[in-house]
Amino acid sequence: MKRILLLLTVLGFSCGLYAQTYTSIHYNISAPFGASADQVGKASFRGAGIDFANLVKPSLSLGLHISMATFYEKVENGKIEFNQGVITGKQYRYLNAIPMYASTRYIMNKGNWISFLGLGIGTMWTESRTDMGLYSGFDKTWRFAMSPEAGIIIGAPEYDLGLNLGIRYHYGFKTSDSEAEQYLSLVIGVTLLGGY
Amino acid sequence: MKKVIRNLLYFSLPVLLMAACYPGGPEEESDMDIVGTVYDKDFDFSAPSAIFVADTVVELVRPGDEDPLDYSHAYDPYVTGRIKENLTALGYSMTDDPTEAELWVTAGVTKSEQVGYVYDWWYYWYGIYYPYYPGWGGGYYPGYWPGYPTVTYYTYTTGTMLINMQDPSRINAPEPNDSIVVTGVWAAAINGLADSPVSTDRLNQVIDQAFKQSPYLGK
Repeated sequence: MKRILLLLTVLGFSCGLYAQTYTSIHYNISAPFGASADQVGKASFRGAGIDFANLVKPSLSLGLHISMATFYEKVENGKIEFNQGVITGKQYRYLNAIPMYASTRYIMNKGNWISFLGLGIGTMWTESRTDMGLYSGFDKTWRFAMSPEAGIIIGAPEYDLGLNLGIRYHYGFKTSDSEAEQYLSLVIGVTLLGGY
Repeated sequence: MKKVIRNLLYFSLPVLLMAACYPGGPEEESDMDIVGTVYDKDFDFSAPSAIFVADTVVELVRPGDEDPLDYSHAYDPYVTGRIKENLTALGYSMTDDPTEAELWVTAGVTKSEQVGYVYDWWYYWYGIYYPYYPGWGGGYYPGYWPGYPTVTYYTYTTGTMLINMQDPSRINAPEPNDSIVVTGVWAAAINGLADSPVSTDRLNQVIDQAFKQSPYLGK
């Protein structure tokens, strides 16, 4: 409840500036790839994000993006093998990712249908965790990240609102002790269109 | 500029809201059972025929402790019986005479109590007491901040069962004052929550798993 109230505060404050900016809030469905899929092989239905941007030119916006995705998988016969033995048990695997980008979008159309291509560059915090028995293994890492995206906004100009649909690929680069984390998100949301 | 900075501060709030999430997780005590096995890669497990399994489960305690485990030996027949069933299914024959056996199997148990606490910082920041106007006199008392954090203590008991398979021919002949060394050829360690009495089904499941994940055992 407390978190919902704070989120509404953020949204309410963002709405006041839509004359030169736009604000999007969206729900994400994400699929892991690479090392992320090795950690958790299932898609995430727990994801949300906010975009906050300013139109600097009619076809170009600059802004900020923050989102999260939570991946979870229960492995019934989890196994950890070593040289002369093995440990088995139920494993509860998690991957939490919070990317934060400075983003730019190239807006190609105008009118009620707005399509865009974008790129975000910034950082991603990831926490990879495996619970097995009474023990947990953690890996928390900040990493450099990039995120290309493509999407459309189906607008209702009379209401300054739009339905936001898109796909976004998040790539967090590998670090000295952690593999790259990457996942593809399907984005569905609402955009306040005051700046278009 | 102030509006922009304030917006950026509010914009960063979602980072706090979207802190790591851990859905799902264990639902029963048995969900947290784990079974580990180790073995001697150089030992030929198909060679021995007769195995002696001790009928009593040993309580692994420090010398001098008097029955600190609160372990019920009523479990012994279930534990040793299940071990014998698994070994018989692998083609080994059981013997009651340890001098005739080519391998010895013993089982032991131990328990430990874990104690911890959680310090809830959220209530530390959220506990704001607002000012009130007293029924008499002038002014009002200011509110005070922060609120009191909450501390939650928890305790739980973990249990471990160890199953050891030893080759008696490898016992080093002891010299005076030397320790007797018995080299094990296979061992299983079964660990889990032991806050409530363990069911025989749960015991059977974990003992079976120890043999299931050891495909090198058997004739």
